[in-house]
Amino acid sequence: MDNWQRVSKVSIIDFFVKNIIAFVSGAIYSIPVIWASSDTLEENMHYVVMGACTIVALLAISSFLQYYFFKYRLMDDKIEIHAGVFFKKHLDLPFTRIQNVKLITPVYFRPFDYTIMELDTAGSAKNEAKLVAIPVIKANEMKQHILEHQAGPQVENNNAEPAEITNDAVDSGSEKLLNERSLVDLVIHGLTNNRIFIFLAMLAPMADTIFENTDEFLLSFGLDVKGFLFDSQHPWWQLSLYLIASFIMAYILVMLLSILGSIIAFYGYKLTKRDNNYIQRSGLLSIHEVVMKKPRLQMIVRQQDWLDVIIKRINLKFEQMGGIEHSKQNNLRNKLMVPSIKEDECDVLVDDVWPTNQMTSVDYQPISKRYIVRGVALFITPITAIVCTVAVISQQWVLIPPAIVFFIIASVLVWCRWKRWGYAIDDEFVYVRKGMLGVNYYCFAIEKTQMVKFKQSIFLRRHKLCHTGFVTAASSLTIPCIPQDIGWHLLSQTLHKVESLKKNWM
Amino acid sequence: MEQSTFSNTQLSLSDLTPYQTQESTHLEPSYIKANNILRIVFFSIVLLIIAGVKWQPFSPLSDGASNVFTLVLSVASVLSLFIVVMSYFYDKSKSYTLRENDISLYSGVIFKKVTIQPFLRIQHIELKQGPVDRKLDLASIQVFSAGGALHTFELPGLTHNDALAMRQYILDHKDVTVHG
Repeated sequence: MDNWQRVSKVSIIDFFVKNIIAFVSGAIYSIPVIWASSDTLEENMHYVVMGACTIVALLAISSFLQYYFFKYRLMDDKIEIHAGVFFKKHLDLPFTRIQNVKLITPVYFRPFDYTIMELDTAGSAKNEAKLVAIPVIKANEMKQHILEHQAGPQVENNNAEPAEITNDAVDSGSEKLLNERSLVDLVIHGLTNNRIFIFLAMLAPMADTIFENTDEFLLSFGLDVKGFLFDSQHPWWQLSLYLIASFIMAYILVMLLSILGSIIAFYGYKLTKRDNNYIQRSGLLSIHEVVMKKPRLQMIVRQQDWLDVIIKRINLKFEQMGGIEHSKQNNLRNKLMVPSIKEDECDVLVDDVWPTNQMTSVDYQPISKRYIVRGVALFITPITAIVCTVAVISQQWVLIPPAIVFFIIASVLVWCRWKRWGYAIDDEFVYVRKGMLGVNYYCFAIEKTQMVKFKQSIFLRRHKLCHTGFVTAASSLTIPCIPQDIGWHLLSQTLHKVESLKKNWM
Repeated sequence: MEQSTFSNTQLSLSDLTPYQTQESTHLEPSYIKANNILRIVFFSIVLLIIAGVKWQPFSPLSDGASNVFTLVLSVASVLSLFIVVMSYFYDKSKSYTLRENDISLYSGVIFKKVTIQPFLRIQHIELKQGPVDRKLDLASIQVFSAGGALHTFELPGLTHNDALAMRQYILDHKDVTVHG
């Protein structure tokens, strides 16, 4: 009974790194002070070194204490954790409450074959359990144990999928590789999707310093930005050429950083399947592992930016529950997403998950053309009118051509958006297509709907149109401007399915 | 045989009252009244404070400042009147329908909105009673689904007994369907 265990001593490294990061990001605001008093500091160098050593030593001791006081024990159906040096924390987590098991392997754990196991619960982020420094093999065993424990009651409820269960029995125990991403794919992903934020997020603690030093850095290249811009000696064409050139330079830089971000996040991407679980592993520095149980899948999203449309690549997302609550965190890597895959690969994956789904083949119904009228009348015309009025009153005639250009471009974009909107429903799924220059396909199982909404303004009522909304556990979708009879039909059909089938949504 | 089951399903479907035409219950008149009075009191206090600053005798405002306050006061009164009137009609427009398997909430004056929550998908229910609610023996019900906090289904202005009964009904029903 009393088999409390400690995690491996390697965890001290992780606690130490986390402590250092916390300390640095806490002390970031003192940089200007240190900078200002740098002369005094240089004079008393030995004190500074001693101070730094003390801080590092304190952090190291606290890391050791954190390790020493962290204990856990595994029971048949739950895990208990004791942690905390001054503030004791006792966590009692039954396996059935665990939503998601994640394995994260930071770069400094790689040589030791250790990993960090994160157990997500449906509750707040504070309640999540984290086991630092578990041997990889043991972590996988535990993960399997937890998932199997969850699968038990799940299968009983889900008697509608007998074919699935027999299929599982065949390849149970072995992981089947579903998809892999090569470096080229990741470069493409970086180009077509803005992944610069992954990179920036890593630099965030140092951001201030970088911005402060950029000026000096440019100066050292003989580029005096301020002097250049406010110096009227240069002719205007030279200035605009420089502006265009620097814009292109900045664009290329952003692209490069985005590619870097994409590689950091998705290096060595592998999507595998084991029994009913889909497992995603990726990452250059720290390897993230995300597991999704098939019944937990709420919605499939097939995402294409305009560049993706041209080169025929797709980001395929499998959305689980809790998309709304957790969206504040940088959770790109906590989601199951296959970056920049080809169309045929995408079809294979979608068929594997929901075989009866007709995401690509179904006939999408267009929405009403009133959508364009509404967009132009409600948003574009007023803005243009205001700008033009201001121009006429203040006699700034220069403003009028841009206003007209804005009107035309915005109207064309609204038309593009209308063109992309589409919806369809069959016996099992609701399909929505939307986008502007790019195109996204959404698909969710009807019985996973949580709530439905019907909206109608005076303008829409006059034309017998409505907005129809579906809320699922992953996210909500609204189809705008469809005939109200069809809207009600969609809603009552959905409700009928949910209420009569009484299927579990996860 | 197949023919008969097929027509049976069709019948049961058409038997259902469509959601758009079903009868709905309006909120308690005492709730609408109390809500309205509270709003009028609140906005009166705001307007009084502005007027108090403008006409207070202790340190008379300069002409410019006084003019600004006149403008603020007039804009604020028009806005308050608008909000009070609109909110009144909004409260009046709210109504709900309880069915065997779901609950619908109708609301909106200019933007009509119908939200339908099947019991099967309810995670938990909260019954709330503010100080005014307690005085008037009213309560509101909040229904949470897995759709997230943004999509909470809230039904105010029920009598306390109705709210309790409704909560019990939903809980009972939910239980039956989950294990049924």
